[in-house]
Amino acid sequence: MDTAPRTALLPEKGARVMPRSLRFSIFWRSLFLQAAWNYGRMQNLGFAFAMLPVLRKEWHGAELSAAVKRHLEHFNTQPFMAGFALGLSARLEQEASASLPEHREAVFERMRLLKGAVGTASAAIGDRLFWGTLRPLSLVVAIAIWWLGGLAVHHPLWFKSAMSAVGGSAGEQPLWHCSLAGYSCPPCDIFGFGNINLMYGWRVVIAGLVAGLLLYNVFALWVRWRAIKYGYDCAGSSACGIELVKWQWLIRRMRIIGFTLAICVAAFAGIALFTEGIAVGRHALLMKYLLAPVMFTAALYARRRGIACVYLYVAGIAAAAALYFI
Amino acid sequence: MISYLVFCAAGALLKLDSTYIAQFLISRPVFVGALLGMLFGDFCAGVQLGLFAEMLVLDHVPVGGHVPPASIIWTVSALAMKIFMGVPVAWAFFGGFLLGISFPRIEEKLRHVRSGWNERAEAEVMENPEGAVVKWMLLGPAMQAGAYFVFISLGAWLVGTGVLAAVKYSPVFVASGVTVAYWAVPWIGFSSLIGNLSPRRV
Repeated sequence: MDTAPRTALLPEKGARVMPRSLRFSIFWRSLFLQAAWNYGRMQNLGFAFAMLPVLRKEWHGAELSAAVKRHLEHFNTQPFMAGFALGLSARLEQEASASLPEHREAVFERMRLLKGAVGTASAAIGDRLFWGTLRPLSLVVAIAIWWLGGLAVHHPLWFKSAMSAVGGSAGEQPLWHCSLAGYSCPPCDIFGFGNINLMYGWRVVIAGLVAGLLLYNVFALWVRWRAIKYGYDCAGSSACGIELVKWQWLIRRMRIIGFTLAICVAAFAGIALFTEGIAVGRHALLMKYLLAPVMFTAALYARRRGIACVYLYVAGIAAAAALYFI
Repeated sequence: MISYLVFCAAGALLKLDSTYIAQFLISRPVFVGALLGMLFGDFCAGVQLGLFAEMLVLDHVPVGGHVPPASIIWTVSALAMKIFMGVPVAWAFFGGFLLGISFPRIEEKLRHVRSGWNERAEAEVMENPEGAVVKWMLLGPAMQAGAYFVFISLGAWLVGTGVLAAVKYSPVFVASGVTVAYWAVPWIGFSSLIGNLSPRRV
C-alpha cells in the first residue's frame, strides 16, 4: 500500500523512463542474483550487482557508495521473480535522485519497505510456480515425449498412419542409429523393462530433455525480462507483480495438465511393466507384482505423512534383499 | 586421470547453474547425466542415473535457506563411478546417493562463510563501490565451483573404491537387493511426480 507522499522533483530533472539498454543490463545481471548467496543477507550482493547500472547513472562519488550500500541490505525472493523488486528499486532510485535532498530519506525508506514486501509476495508465487509446478511439469513432458518417441520407433504402423494423416514421412531407419565420430549410441532401456519395444533412441531422449528445458526457460526468461519493466512501471505500488499474470489460474492450469500427463505416464509404465515385464533376473515376477506397486503406493502414502523417501529406499533394499531368500 | 578430472570439473561447473548462476536448469540431474554421459561414453547410464536422482528429490524445494539433497553431485559422482571405475550402475547410484546427502552440510558451511563477507563488502564499497561488489560476486561462484570439484573428484573416488569392495565381498543377496531396489526407484519417482503435480496442492 502506497502511503508515503510523493516527493517534489527538482526543476532541472523530470520524470524518467527506463531505456531498453538499461533494462537489458539489469536483466543479464539478475541472472547472477544468487552468485554470493549467504545466510546473513541472502541475495543482497546479487541484488546490488544487478542495480549497479541504475545506480551509476543516478549517483556519483560518495552518493554512489551510499546507494550501493543501501542495496547490500537483506533481500530474498524467488530468482525469476526478482525483476519486480529490481524494476521497482530502479524507479525509486531515479525518483530519489530527482528529489530535493531533504526528501530523499523518505524515498529510501519507502524503497526499503516496498522492496521487502514485493520480494516476499513474489517469492510465494514464484516458489509455487517455478519450483512446485514448472520443474516437475518439464520432467513429465520429457518422459511423455520419450513414451511417444518409443511408440514411434517400435510401433511404426501406428506412427506411419499418424504421419501420413498429417502428410509426413516416418522413414525407415530406427531413430537410435547414429554415427558421431565412431561413438555408438545404443537404445536406452531407461526404466529397465529389458524389452526392445520400450527402449529409446538418443534423439528421442534428447528431444524430450530439450522440450522440457524449453518449456521451463521460455516462461522463466519471459517473466525475468517482463518483470523488470513491470516493476518499474508500477510506480511504487506494493502490489507490484501480482497483476502481471493471473498466477493462481496459471498454476492451477499447469498442474492440471501436468497431473494428467503424470497419470498417463505412470499408467503407461504400469501397463508396460505388467505386459512386458522387467529385466531384473531372478526377481522379475516379485518386482512386477509386488515391489513396484508397493513402492508406488508407499511413496504416495509417505508423501501425505511427510515421511522422506530416503526411508523408502532403505526399506526397498532391505525388502529386496530379504526376498532373495524366498 | 585427465578425463576423470575434466569430467569432475564439467560437473562442478554445471552444478553452478542450480543456484548460483543463471538457473537455466541445464544443471538438472537428468540433463547433466545425459550431457556428461554422451561426452564421456555412457549416454544411457547418464540419463538413467540423472532421471532417477531427479525423480527422488522432486519433493525438496530450494526455498529460503533450505538446502535440498545435492542431486547433481549425486548424479555426477555416480556416473563417474560407473564410467571411470566400472562400478555397476545400481551400486553407483547408491554410492552417489551417499555423496548427495552429505554435501548439503558443506553447502551450509559455505553459506555461513559468505555471511561474513557482508561487513567486508560494506567497508570496501565506501572506497570502490562497483569493484567491491563485483569482487565478492566473482568469489562466490569460484568458491562453490572449487568445493564442488574437490568434493566430486575425491568423493567419487573414495566412495567408488569402497563400493567396489562392497560389490566384491558382499553376499549375493545384498547384490540382488541393491539391483532390485534400484529398479524400484522409478516407481517412487512416478508417485512423486503425481503427488507434486496434484491440482489439490495449489
